Amino acid sequence: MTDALLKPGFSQPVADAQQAFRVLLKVMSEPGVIRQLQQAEGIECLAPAGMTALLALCDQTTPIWLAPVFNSAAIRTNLNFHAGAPLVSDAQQADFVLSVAGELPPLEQLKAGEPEYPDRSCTLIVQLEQLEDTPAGAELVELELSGPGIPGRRRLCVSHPGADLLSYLTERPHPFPLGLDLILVCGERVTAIPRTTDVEVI
Amino acid sequence: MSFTTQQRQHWMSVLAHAPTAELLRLSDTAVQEFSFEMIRAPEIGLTQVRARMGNSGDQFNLGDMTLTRCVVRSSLNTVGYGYIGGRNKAHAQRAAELDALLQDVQMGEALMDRVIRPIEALQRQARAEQQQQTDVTRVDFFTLVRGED
Repeated sequence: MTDALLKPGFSQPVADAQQAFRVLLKVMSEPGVIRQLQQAEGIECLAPAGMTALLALCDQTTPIWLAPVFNSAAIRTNLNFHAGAPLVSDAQQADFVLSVAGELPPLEQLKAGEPEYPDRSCTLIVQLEQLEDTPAGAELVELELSGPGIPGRRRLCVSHPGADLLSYLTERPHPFPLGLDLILVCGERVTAIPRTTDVEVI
Repeated sequence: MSFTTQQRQHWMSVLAHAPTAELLRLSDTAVQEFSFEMIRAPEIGLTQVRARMGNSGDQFNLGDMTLTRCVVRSSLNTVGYGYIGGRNKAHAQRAAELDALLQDVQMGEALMDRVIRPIEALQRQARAEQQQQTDVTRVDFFTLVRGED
């Protein structure tokens, strides 16, 4: 029975969803700013911030692609129950991709929007082991962000982002305004790197 | 499972139609013995009601109705669903809690006696009273032979 796998969603459906959305708006408009996002509980290996972002953003009209590590019965059941979002096995049809850095689908093949409707693109939600604004460990990769929403430059340190993601962020193969938006989650922390942000690896 | 789908549909229907005050009064003590985890907090939404002309014609949209729903997991590890018409969150939550407890073998039978059957009796009585009031004003038409042939 799938009932046994169900976990609580938002405890205050309206207020929690609005607060989560506000936080996501904040990190999207000021790329690299780290905020707390813990209105919903995590499930298995999926962090609270990742679950909250999905619950706040997804509904029946947004197909989700899950990386193999997240493709468990518990996560599928709860996303279906609380968000009602369809899950797709082909990442090219997905509006949201939930993954860890090592299991990302080929990024250049994901939906990047159309010139008339650049908003019809895919949003990546990538879960990391570490996410800091100051270099705290030797293993962290240091990114320098600049662009709209950033006064001067902003520093972001991430663990094991993977070569695919880094090369996508630095080279931006899709011509603007097309492109992918990236939400990074780690435990209860969240930040974002939208398509307008220039990224340099230090 | 010790109950059939029809049985569960029946008690969910009784819970949904029950007068709120009576439902809360009858079930307060039973519910307090257990703890519940809120899976889906009570939320109010809108649902479209569809019907068929004469129950066999084409489907059409009858209209929208307000709906309150709630899902809880009881400490007996059963998951209860409450769907009620209207905007009463306390009613939806109590209906979900009782649905969870009714699925348990021992608790279920006790609750049927303590909550479901009394409410059902009330509902039957209310329907009978309504029927009686209507019957008073009933007019039976009859036609005299008009002698045309």
